[in-house]
Amino acid sequence: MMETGSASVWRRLLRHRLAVAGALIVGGLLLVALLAPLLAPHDPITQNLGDAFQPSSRQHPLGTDEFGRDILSRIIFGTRVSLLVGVVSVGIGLVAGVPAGLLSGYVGGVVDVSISGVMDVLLAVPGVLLAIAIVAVLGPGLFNVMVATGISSVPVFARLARGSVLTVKETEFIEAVRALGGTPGRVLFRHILPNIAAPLFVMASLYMASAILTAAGLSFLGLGAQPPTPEWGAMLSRGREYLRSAPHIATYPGIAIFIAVMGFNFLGDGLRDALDPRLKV
Amino acid sequence: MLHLTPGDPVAIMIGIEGMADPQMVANLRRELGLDQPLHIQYWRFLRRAVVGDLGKSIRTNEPVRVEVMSRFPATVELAVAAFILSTLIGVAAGVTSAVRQYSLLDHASMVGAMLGASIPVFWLGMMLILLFAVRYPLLPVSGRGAPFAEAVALLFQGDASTLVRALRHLILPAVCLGLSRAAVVARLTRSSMLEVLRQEYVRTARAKGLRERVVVYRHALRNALIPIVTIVGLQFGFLLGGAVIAEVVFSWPGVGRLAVDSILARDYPVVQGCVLLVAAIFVLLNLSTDLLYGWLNPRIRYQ
Amino acid sequence: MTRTVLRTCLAAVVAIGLIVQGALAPAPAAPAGTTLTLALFADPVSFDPHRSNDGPSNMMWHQLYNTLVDRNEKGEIVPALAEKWQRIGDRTWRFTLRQGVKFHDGSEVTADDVKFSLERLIDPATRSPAAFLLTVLDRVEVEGRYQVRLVLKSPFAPLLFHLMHKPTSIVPAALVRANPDEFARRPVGTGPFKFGSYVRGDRIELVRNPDYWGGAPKFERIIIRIVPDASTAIAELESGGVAGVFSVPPHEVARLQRNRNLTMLVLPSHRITALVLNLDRPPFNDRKVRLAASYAIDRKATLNSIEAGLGVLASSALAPLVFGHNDELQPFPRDLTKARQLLAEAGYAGGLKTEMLVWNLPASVKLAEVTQAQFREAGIEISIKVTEFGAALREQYAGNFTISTMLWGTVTLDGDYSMYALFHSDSIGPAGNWGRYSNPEVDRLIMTGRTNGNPVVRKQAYLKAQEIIANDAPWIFLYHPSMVYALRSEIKDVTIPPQGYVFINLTKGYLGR
Repeated sequence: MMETGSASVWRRLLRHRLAVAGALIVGGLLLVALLAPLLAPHDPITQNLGDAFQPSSRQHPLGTDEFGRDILSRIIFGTRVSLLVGVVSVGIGLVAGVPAGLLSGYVGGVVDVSISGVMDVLLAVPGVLLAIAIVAVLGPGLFNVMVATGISSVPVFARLARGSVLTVKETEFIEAVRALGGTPGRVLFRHILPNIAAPLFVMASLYMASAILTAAGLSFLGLGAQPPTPEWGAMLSRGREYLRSAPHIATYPGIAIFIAVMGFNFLGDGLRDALDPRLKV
Repeated sequence: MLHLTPGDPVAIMIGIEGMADPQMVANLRRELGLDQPLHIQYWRFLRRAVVGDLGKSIRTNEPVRVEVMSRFPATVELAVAAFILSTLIGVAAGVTSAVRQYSLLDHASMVGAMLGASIPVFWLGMMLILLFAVRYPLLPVSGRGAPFAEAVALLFQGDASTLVRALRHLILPAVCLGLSRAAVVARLTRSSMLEVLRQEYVRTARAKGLRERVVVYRHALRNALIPIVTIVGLQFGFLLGGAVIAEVVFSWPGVGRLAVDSILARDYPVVQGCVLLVAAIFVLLNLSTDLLYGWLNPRIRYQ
Repeated sequence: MTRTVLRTCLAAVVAIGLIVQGALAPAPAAPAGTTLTLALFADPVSFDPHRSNDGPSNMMWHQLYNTLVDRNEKGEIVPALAEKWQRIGDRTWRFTLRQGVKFHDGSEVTADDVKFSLERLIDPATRSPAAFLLTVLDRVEVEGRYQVRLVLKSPFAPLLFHLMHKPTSIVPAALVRANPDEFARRPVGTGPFKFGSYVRGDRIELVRNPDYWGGAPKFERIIIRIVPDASTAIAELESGGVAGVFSVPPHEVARLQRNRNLTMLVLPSHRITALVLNLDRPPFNDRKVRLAASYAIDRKATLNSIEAGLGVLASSALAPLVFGHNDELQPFPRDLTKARQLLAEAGYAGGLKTEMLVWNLPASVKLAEVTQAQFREAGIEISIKVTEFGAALREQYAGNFTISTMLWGTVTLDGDYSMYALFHSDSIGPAGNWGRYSNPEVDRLIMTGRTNGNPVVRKQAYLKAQEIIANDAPWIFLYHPSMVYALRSEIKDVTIPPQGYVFINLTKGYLGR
């Protein structure tokens, strides 16, 4: 089962070089997000029209945008936005999807059929399009994008939780707990949940990556973050207009998205290998 | 459901140099049924949708079915091209990696796959345009060369140039869309192949003295294909949905761009139509993937 | 085994290579020199001139149809379908049609078609968003096969300027009556080009009308490709994929001007970029606050930032090339001391907070961001409320805002078009006077301009009205942006008149070397 010693998990994780790289990137991102006001050389919002379109210099390492704002500072503050988007989306997916999946798998019967039905409907629309449809209903905006990516992750987590419960439920260990008079709630949250934590954790990391990517895509389409929020996708979209004459405005936010997504992908992948080599997405 | 959106489509139709008579706006709202309560509007939508009537576009006054279906072939073309590309690259890289596990080639292609899965599609598209269409003008910048079916028909009349034009327009958007998916396919193929290569019957086949190529292709790949088919089938659905961004970047006249344009213009019936169509296709694909899975996997077939 | 994989890859590479090489071989499709490909940033909403009023549609109508009168490159009114005209009374005009003009289906244009077209435009059942152009029209009387009489509800001086605007295009009555939807799909007009085909979101093809009454065009075909993204359109232009772009980002102009393959057109426009203040609500019901806000803006910096400096600073809604423009008025200079002083006098010594309603168009959002930063330095804090275009219009119609962005064009190049819609008290609401400006003296002057037949009297009235408006400061006039278009250099004799790209003249153009 999952009774893997934490020491051996660590060892396997460390052996996985990409996972280490991923962990370092994610750690770095967290640090940058926390220390943004200290790290950013300039204010990310204040304009300086006289300084617009500057290429990189000592004062502005990544140059300035169309309003003379320091791109490095905007990217640094944008880290907060992107991580927030990822955390909130995955949070929604976990909070709504996991209980639904647990319930569905544990109780079975009508409950299972109806919950799975709803999840199948959500799964019937591919991720990006589902998020777009949800934003179409809620209206554009960063918060609504988080809700949209969150909702589109719900069925993924629900399905994973349900599948895991089904395998765990029939084990002697759980049957014993039930025989000893454990209430369903207790059985679910005290005994089953810890047993399926590993795959959920892996999925959460991988989904962070895809949530960041989807949210940036929606902002790129003009459906996400509104100005002057320093959001990477929106920065890139704005910079597209100046792509030929000032390519740095669109290039650096693109690289930032790339690095962040890669970090979470590496980490999730490494975790998967370390926690459960058999687990597949 | 899209009626919850903040925004009034009637104002869109009236347009920027508006100066519309308020009475005219009220009449129009009544005509479109926008003055009815939401649940009644939704009920009407469902009732019509069942008989295939998705309503009319608010912007153009054309039936939604016509609007969406006229864009559908372009999206299918793009998705099929990206699908072929991602499957070819993905399976090739995956098989190579598995056969030469832990070799330099294996590491390189797996790291490459991870990188490919992390590149933002819109950024990749911009860079592809800059590099292959502007800096080195080898391929067209944007747009659809010609409808593929039409181009093939012309080919049989001896005109190959239309097909060439259609294909050339397809390359950049298909690469842009297919690359991240190729990464997923490659990783899956590798792990699936590795699993199969460790199986008894592969060892038996080798022991029988069969040539390595026969072992890998006849025995291993065929079995490894089972999970690959599942994921690849799903990929196609994702390509249809994920085509949105590639279509916007490359001005590709597909359903995805129609959906985004319609959201920005609050053309609810068209957005509903687009989502409905892609969802329906997606479900159909899932179904046919299941069937294919059964065909490939004898254990299921004989049940 | 790896060899097979490699071989497959190699085959794929070769196939791709062959396709790429197709690029280098000359395309045998259409003979060079006879097809013109242009990029347009949006689909036309309708080919039926009475069903929309957006720019792309207007541009198509200009190629497919004709109006009664036209403007030449100098801006003078010239005959089109009407050969001559005469104001025969205070409220009556007579138009004599050119004889023998044929629609693309071969039928002749007669007075019946004119009556049908103009009355269809203003019929509420048609729901044309451009019906306002002829709201003064009471009826059209047919006086003969080639003669009509337009009877107005009230005297209307700028009638001819309205009759050159594309929504007044003449359509074949019989065809439209028979099946209006089919007509919108396969339009038939009298213009220099006939409708060929249309794939929404992709392209429109127009073909030469060899029997055009104004002389057959030289281009065999016009292809209009829909390329929504401006940077993609520019990349197409530079690589030769299209020969003309009408949505050039201003910041690209300097770079593109160095490209010898391109001809950049930077032309003065009739447009105005401004901020509308709501005079019915605090804080901008106070003239001092309005003046303070106006002094807080650095118009030059704004123009530089948003339009790369391409345009002229504004002191009125009428651009210099519009009839009635007052060139005595000076744009507000930036004066932060004065702004703060005025705010203090109005009781906002501690600063002022309000919300700006902004259209969700990229240019408007950028303008809002720049304004926000400039206001802040004067002690005016605004939050930006980006609102989807249609919803924003509704708020504006209802006066549900304190300050908002505004883009407007005087397409007829005549002062009435803007002065009446934007500043007359009858126009409060959807018609255009969203800020609820009302001044009896201005109303009187605008009506003089609207009804008086003497151009000198009209001009005087507009000059005075603009002076009073500048003093009342109901708007913050920012600038008149230039129109920026780019054509490939091999395109010869294609002209764009002051009304803008919509009126692009393709009848004489050809591809040179």
